Amino acid sequence: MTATTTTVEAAVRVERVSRVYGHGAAAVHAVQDVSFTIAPGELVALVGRSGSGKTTLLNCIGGLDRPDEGRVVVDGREVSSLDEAGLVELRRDVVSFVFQTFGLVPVLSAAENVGVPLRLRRMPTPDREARVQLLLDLVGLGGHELQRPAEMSGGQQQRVAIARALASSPRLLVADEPTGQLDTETGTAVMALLRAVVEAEGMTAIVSTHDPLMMSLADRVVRLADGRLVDA
Amino acid sequence: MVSNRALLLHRARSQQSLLLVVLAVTVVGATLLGTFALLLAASENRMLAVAMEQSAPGSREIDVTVSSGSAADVAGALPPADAFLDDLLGGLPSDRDAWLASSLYTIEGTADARAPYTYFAANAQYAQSSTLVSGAFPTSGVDAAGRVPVAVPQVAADAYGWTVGSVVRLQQTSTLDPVRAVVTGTYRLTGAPQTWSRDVLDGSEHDEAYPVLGAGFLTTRAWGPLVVGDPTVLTDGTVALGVAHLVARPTLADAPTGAIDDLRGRLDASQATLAAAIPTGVSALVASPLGSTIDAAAGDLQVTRVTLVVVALLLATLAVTVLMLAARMLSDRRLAEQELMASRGASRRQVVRLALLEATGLAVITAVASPFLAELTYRAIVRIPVLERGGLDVDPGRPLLLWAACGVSALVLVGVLVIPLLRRGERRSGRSERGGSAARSGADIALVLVAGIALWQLSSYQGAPSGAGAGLSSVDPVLVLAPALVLLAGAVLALRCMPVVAHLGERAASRSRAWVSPLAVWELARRPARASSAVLLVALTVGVAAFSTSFLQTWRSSQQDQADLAVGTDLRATPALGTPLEAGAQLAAVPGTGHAAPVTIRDSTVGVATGPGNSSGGVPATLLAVDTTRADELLRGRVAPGWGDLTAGMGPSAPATGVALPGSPRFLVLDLQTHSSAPETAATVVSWLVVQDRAGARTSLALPSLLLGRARTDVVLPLGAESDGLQLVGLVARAVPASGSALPTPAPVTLDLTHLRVTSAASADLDGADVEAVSFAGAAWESHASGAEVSARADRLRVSGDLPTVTSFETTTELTATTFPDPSSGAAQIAVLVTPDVLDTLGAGVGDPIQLDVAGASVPAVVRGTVPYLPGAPHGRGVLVDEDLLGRAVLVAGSPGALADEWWLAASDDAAPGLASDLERSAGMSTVVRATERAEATDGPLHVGVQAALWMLVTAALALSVSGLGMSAAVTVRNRRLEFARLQALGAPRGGLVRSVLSEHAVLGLVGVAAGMALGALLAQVVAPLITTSASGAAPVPGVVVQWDWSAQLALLGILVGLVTLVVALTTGTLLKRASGQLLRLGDEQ
Repeated sequence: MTATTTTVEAAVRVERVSRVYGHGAAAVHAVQDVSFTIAPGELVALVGRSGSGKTTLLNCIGGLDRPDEGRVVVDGREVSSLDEAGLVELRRDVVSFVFQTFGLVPVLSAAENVGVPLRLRRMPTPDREARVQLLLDLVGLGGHELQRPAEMSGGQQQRVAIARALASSPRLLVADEPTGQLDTETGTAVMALLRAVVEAEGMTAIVSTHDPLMMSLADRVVRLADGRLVDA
Repeated sequence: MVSNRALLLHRARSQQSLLLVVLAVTVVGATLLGTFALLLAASENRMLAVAMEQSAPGSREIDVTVSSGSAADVAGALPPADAFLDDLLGGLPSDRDAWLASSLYTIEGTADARAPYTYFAANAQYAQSSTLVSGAFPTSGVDAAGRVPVAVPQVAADAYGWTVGSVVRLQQTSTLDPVRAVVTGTYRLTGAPQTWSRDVLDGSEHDEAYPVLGAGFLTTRAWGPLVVGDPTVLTDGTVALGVAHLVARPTLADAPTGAIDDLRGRLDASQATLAAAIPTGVSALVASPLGSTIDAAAGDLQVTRVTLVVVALLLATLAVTVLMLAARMLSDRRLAEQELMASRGASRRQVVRLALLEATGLAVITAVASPFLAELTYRAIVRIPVLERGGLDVDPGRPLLLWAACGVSALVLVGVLVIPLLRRGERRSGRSERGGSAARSGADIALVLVAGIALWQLSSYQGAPSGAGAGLSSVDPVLVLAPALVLLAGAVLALRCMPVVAHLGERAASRSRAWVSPLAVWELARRPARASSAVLLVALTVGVAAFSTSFLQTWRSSQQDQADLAVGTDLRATPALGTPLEAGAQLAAVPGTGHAAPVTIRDSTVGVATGPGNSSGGVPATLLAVDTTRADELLRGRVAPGWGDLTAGMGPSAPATGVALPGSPRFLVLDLQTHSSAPETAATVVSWLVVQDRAGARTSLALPSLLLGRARTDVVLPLGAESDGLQLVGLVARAVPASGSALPTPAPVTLDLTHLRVTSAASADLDGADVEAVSFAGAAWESHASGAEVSARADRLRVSGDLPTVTSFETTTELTATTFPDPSSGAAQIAVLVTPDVLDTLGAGVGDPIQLDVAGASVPAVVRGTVPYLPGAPHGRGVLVDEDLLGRAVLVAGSPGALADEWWLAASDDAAPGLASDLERSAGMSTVVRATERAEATDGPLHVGVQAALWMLVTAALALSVSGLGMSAAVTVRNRRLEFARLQALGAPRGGLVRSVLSEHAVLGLVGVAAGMALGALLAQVVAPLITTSASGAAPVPGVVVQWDWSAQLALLGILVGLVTLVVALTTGTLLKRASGQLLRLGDEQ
């Protein structure tokens, strides 16, 4: 089950993770006994049909959910045993998310949205503004700094979300179907962007997707079916 | 319907926290309105009854006096008179009392020149307010021997040698029917003089010169009453009934609604009704102060009612605002859901029906629960001691007004939840959005304009406009509506400041490296609609709370100022009868009254002096003469720079001293003689000796009139009281020629007072008594009439002058001499302070001479300055002068009239009531206590409602503010939970998000508080003076000084900020969930 054997410490280690929603007869086994590792700098595509447990697994990796069994280690930290402060630190400094619905704060402009993680790290204002500009340029949205989410297309919003995810230079990027609400062309561009920035920033990424293109861009594909790992 | 119900239940379960918050706020608002409705109802129904019940018993009495020459007629008229009282009271319970007195009887077998009179009487008061000297009061009507057992006055027993068992033979004065009475006891009446107003001899027990019936110019002695043991002897013909007083004192504490008004109406026609009920030939009169008492109380109530209505409208404004805030937040929460339903095929009617069902559910719960909660709240509030004492601690019941208030609140909730849906219809176009914005701006401008006009109208009021009327219909609409309008308009203006504040905040946020406060500022700047509701709420509640706090202090302060000025001193005591000397002795006998000061307070006439003793015109004015050297100690009532400063230098340079009367004499004894060198002139010399007590009060003791050339020896002058420190300070005398006896040339006349002695003997019978000679030469005597002379040596005081000639304008010869100089002679002048309207009316100015007419004398004085009002007589024209100097001037002018109308005492608030009680009990004086009047003015049953309303308004403002902002925080968290979850996914800690929500509300609060305080201060300055009135609804005197106590305001603000912070932090901390994938996914689905 272990994906690779290497002397380098894995960026992500998922060990026998299970997650059950509900109780008794109504219990739903979202993830069952899943184990795999992701090497630093690796881009992994997590694929499977709807309801296969992709999002649950990503949430467990990102500290948004806790597995009922097993453990998740990210960047040497056992996520499943972190307290609230540890989780806050993990999300602020180690893990970044890109959501299917972009997850932008609607009242903030593109630049302000990108700047939020930097504010959370209390980066000095001039440095923050420079990095925000750099990231917006990186995702091809230079000149759209003042636009608010409602004034941008879906693709643009997802680019802003990617820029925001990159803002704090996370070690792990977790993207949950980032192209799910985008048309094919835009989705392809976003995928290419993700691939490019992961490489450029040297970070590790795990991306859930149905998109064959993304699968082709990934270093490795991990498949889930009914909550079980079928191919790593 | 089934699907609607299922949807409603499902949604209620999933959003129970939001619905509970909205419901709680709605119920709080409706409960507060309901509580106020109960207060209003209690004010209308109960306070009048309680005030009447707490009024002096005498002010509620109804007295039917029945009299006739025929005893049988009087007795026969009693049942219909009693029935008349039943009808008049209309079923109201009452205490009944009957004072029965027989016609006059002569006492047979006495040594008097004319047969003395007496009378039988029956009333429980005779036994209750008397001291039994011997024997007992009778218990039966007639004894076995056919005699009437009676208790007799001790003075009568002393005069005729009666003892217990003595039989007194009497004869009715008109029928000559004989009656035999047997003495069972002797008594001495006690109690205040007013106790005996229905007694034939007014409780004096003895009249030395009672007019003989049918021969008014002759007098005889009268004694009485002979108190019988059974009143029936007066009604069954045993003795002749002469007059009957049937007295009813209605018990009004539990009077049903409207009963007092009905009684008031019947009182107007009571005399005609009585006349129709009583048989002809009998005189029947009904007299009662009850009508005036009810009118005065109703006037007070109307004044209170105006304030209550103002407060009610402010409270309603607050409550409706909170309800609208709740509804708006719920509507916002429902908006996306309704759009989703519409997009999935739900018709507009279905959406509205669903909203209506939900709103109706909330409204029903509100309408049902809030009346009961209001009742509980009311019961809790009226347990505050001052409200309890004011009579509000009664079962309020559940009047229609309560249900109406709570029902209307519920309906408002339904309206604000559903009406926007009816108007919303299709998605608005940009054009219609712009149109709506323009309409809102127009409405805001209109509101501000209307409020401005109302404010201008209020400012133009010159006096208190509330007036006194019959009910709520007479309340001035501008006065009651303007505060609410001004408040709303001010809050709307404050909303317009929000964008400016938010813009400044945004600029600061962009430069900040933090995220908590910038997040709060971005939210405020970019979702202004959510912010506006909260700012509106805070501005309104803080404005109302600040105004209420200020008004409460202003109102209390003004009522107390008015009470202080109306009383004028700490304790006013008015002697019932007797001379100033007697009153001074009575006062001195009561511990703690050592510094009582005699005061003259009476109507007078003031004119511009045109020459000695002459003045032009004259206007009536109240004259207040008081010891100005103790003005700061004695006088009360707010004035600048203080009574002591105003009256400084107005008093005498030295006290008046005279011939000291040694010891504590009870009688003066002296010889009198008059001479004239013109024996053909007939004249009478009338004279008074003037004695001054320790307090400076002067009493004129009348000497017997003497014809010229006559003499009297051993003239005994009773001093009426045993006092030490007395001084003889004057002799007022005048010779009055008989008509036509004046001569063509002046004829001298002399009055000699010789051999002055004093004695402390108990009676006027000086045989064997110790007497002590007093030297007239113990003081320097001065005469004051032109040509008159005075000389004093140890055993004689002689005054002499010339009798007027036939060509003289004078008609008498003044022979007055005093031991002090004329206070108005030479450079000395009596200085007075006058109210400005005296000068206006007279056309005089400061420094002008004026003339005061007082006690039959014309006193010259000079206007030293003006005072806005007089202590103890705050209304109308007034003159303030030093009591001692006025007294000297009156004497010098030859008037023996007494000036001491009242005695004023300085006493602490704690000691004054007890002192007053002692004076009433032991000296029979009537008293007015400033501390009591102050308490009555603020905490009396007709006034306490104002305080209750204001306290309730402050409490309501706090409650609504806290619950409204708590709801705002709850809705904020609920509406932004996905946003907060995403921020947590980015690494934002929950605590930071809670702080951000707190910061958001802090900025809202800051703007709202600033606007609210400004509005509160504006309302306090403009409205408070207008609705702060006197008890009668007139403009208060002294004028209102608006109280703005920063410490109280900041304390209130501190409580508000503390509570809001606590509630918002708790609400946010509780509702703001940890970020989870489930939440993020749920959010995505939305």
